[in-house]
Amino acid sequence: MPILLEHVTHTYMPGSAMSQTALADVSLRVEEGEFLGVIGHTGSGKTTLLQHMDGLMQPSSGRVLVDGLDLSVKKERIEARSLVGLVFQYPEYQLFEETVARDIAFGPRNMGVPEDEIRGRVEEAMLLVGLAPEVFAEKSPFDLSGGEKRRAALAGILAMRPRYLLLDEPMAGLDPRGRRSVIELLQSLRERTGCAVVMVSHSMDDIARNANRVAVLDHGALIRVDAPERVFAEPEELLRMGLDLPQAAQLALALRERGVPAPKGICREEEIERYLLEALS
Amino acid sequence: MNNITLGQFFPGDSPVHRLDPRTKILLMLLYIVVVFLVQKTALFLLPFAYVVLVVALSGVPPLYVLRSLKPLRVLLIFMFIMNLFLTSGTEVLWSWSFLRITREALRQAVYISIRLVLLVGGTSLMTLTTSPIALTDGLERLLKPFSKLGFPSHELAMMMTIALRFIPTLMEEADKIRKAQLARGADFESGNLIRRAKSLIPILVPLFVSAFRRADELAMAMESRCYHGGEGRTRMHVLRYTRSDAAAWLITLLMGAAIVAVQAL
Repeated sequence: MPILLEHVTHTYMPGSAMSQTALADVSLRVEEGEFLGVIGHTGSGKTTLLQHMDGLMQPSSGRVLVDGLDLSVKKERIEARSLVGLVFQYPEYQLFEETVARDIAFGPRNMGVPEDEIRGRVEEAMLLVGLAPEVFAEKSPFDLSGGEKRRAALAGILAMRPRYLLLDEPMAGLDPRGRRSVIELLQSLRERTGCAVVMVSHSMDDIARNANRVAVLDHGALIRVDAPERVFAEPEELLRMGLDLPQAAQLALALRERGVPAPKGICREEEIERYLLEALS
Repeated sequence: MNNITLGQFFPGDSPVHRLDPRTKILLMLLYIVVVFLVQKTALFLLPFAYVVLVVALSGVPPLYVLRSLKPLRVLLIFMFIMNLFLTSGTEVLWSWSFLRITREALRQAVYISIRLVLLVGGTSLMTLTTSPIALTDGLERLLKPFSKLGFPSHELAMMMTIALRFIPTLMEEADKIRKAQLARGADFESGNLIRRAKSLIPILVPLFVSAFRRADELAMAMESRCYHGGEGRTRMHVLRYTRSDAAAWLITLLMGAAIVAVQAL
């Protein structure tokens, strides 16, 4: 069963002079097990979209269903939150417990998971994000480094074993190695547990390389949802919206502009590499 | 969450808004004294007319001023009843078992109520027509003479300004943290008082941590721009008294003098 958004519109401060449409008639289906990338410039409604999928914001009109649970109903919303894990931007600022292990246990405990199972889940989540339990479990989260904090916060969501993992720019502020390890973690998690990943990111390369589908938001409207090779095949549209292209697509575009017939769908490194090798040989 | 108004400033460009904040602070104090000087019922009309005049000049909707009286309701009723039954007097108007109301008590209760309404209504006009920044500015200047005695007037005003500046930021932050913990299944609404208070820990701890972090960063940013306290510091907007400040002083003093004169007769 999917996450289903049906004609979702969200208006901030309706009726007042400052009223602003953050989402305009968005209909979207997040399939089980898929990797959906969400792109759009700042203020295009990406974060608002994620918050609607977890029932943290309610649509002004339209509705959101998570595995058939209607998020406008309080009881179903609370049930749905154990299916959906939402990782906010800079999640490390939400750590609060005395030890890393207890902070990670916060989510499962709220869900009513029995204590002896929680211990297993905490350990599992810590291993997943690469924090050795024997080293970090009893440390204060405030003594960790920036990257470790980020991973501890991520583990706090993973310990809830979400079927849908939503991430709002999970790599923001990380160094290249940190970015790579987050992406690798997401992919291995998806393979192992079959959970769906919805990732908001400004890094078109990460989106092109990892997402099955890409949703493009512009001023609150969902412009298109399609496979990355088809979305990035229309560079003019994306550039007009103030978005970047993956480096491979940029190179292909530059080649086309100089008369080299690089195909339009190229958006990943290995594709442009293969094309160049073929074209040169 | 973002649309809370700070204090209750009503932006505008009226003669009242343009008054020097120092004038407004001092006149407010003078006004409070005047309201307490009044001892004759009819003379309450003077401060009342004064408030009406200021409201008319300021362009603040009268409804806003009335709204500032709303939180006063409970206190007003309480004070009225207390004064009505507890003030001693000779001329008994009404009595029942141990309760009695005297003419003096009635007078006292009515006066207290009128004074309270005039006080809160009048002083709220100051916060309605003066931005928090202008207010702290004026306060700093007024307290400056005391800095010779070691009173940190500039530091105090700077602290107030910074606090006001960060209220919206911290509210936004609190909202974000609340949502993040909600997403982890936190429940802030059910359970008894102790449980609910405890459920706030996951919000308060990160909020405090971030407030300290922000304070630290702000201090560094200020230092790197050579901030070193109030000494020798010049301002972009220098406060200057104008003709309308003189007019405001004149009107207020006249009202006070009239009341004193009539009562002395």
